[in-house]
Amino acid sequence: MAAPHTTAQKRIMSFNKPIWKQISVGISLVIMATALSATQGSVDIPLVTTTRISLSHLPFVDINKDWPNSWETIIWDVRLPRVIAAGLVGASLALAGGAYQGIFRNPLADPYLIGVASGAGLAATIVIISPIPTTLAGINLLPPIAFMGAICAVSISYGLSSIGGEISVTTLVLSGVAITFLASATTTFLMLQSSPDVRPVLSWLLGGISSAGWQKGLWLIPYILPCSIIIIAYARKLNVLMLDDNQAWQLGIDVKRVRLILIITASLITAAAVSVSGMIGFIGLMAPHAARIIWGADNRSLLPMSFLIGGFLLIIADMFARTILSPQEIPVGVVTAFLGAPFFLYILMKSRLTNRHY
Amino acid sequence: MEKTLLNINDISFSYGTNQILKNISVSVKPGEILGIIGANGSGKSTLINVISGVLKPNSGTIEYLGENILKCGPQERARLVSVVPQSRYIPPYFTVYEVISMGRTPYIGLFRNADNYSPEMIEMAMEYTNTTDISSKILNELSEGQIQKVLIARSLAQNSPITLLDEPTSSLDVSHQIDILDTIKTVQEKNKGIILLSIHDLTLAAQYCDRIGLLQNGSMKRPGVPTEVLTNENIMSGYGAKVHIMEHPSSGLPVVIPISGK
Repeated sequence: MAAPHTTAQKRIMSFNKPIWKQISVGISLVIMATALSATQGSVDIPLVTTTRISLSHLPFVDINKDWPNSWETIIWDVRLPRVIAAGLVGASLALAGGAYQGIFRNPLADPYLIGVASGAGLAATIVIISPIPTTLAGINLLPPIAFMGAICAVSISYGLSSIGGEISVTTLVLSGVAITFLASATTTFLMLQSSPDVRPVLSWLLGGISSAGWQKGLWLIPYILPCSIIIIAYARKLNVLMLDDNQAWQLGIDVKRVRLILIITASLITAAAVSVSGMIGFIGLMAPHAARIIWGADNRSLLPMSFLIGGFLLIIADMFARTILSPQEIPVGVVTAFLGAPFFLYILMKSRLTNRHY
Repeated sequence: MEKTLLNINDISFSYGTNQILKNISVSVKPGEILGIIGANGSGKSTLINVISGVLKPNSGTIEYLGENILKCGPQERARLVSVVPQSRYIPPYFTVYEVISMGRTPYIGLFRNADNYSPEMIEMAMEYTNTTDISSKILNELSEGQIQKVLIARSLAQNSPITLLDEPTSSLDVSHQIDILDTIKTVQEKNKGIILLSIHDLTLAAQYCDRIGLLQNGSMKRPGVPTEVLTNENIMSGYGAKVHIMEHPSSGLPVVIPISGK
């Protein structure tokens, strides 16, 4: 077209540009956070050595080992698995939060809102305090059990809010909140009744990635990888679902089906994250909002960026959790709230100034 | 029966025992604008929701190109029918471009778009509706009239042969009402699609619609040209309102002037 449209068309072209730029910024942040976090702890190990130790474990990389064996153990067996588990948990909770905010058209939605996380927590608590073994034939049973708890919670809220095949989002959120309280109360009750020493369950419940080893991070991958791909692939349909049900249907979206698929996948990654780390609040709410304020509401960038920001934030939060009062650890949930809330208030304030209200 | 017609045959719809639509039959030709008028609660929006597939009728068929479109899935249906909804709710943080590009939703896939995804439809829709210059604004920054244009652009981007508009001029001031209807008319002259629009303003309906159907308690008489339908008797029975009908000084079409009830 002719010249008058040039500016607008340029903007459109920039919108159409692939989101690789943002994604690479996000990935660099996560890598930097990982490296920084791995250097911190009771023994300070220089960044260069940390990086070299990590790289030496990659296939086809040949690095001369000029560091003490204890450093190798600290980095490879203790810190790195923990950092990576933290990153995966944060990323999962944030991605689930971003998906729920879209599905329920509610900016307050996060994995806790519709009872998913507390349902998963209750199921996992039952298993932890009962004599049921938590592993079977080498497979950790906590993620699938937590998932069943999560799905039970979602089914109850979903069932209650479904009238003649239509879903009332308000009822869904209200029943989710009720289920969250019920499940949390039951969890507390069971915990107090179960054993003289409630600390193991309590510390799990407060959220933390304390126990190390590669196992925990590795359990997450079979859940996170497929679910994240599915959720991000649905990003554009989710954009349309954020209008109302009628408009989404009129634009060709099979509303019920898309919503069901997204609820199941988001619940599955929430459950996997909760089974590894217990209850970590705020990440699932905050990361998607930060992504929305910085990069816009389009779920095609919002979902992958939430994933990366969530990972980044929890790696940093976990680093503070284990170093601030060292050798004592504080629950990472406390840190996410302490760091997250002011940061969140700051970006909200900034968004007010630029007239982008939420 | 002509294949290019949209044939609505004997459609009935009820919410529980409350029958909203009773045996509606009407055909619409390509290039035609069919206005649907009727009192509040007469079933205008219900009829639009039935055609767009949001509501399933109890009986009847809707045929287009020899197919019963009631049997299509949502994606297939959205390629045939687009809707400019009465509710203009869009999350305020979406940009105009993002909303208009949602018109291409029936052509997207999860990992790959359909071969006829044609993103150039989005730009065409913006040009037709003069929304190119506001394309990077967020919805929060727009007036009601601009939002309505964005929704019309979205439906144009959908590039469907059938377009339904549910009270496109409601809650707009007179200049925006004319602007919106002119846009619809201009687009229709270029695209020769099938347009059904429900509207409250009878005078505007007369100026812009080729034929008008009056819905009365869920039934519709055979639609006719504005001068046939907009008569004192029809408006008395359809709305229970006394009106004075004059001739438009330039178009010669009916102008409906309400008279105080007493």
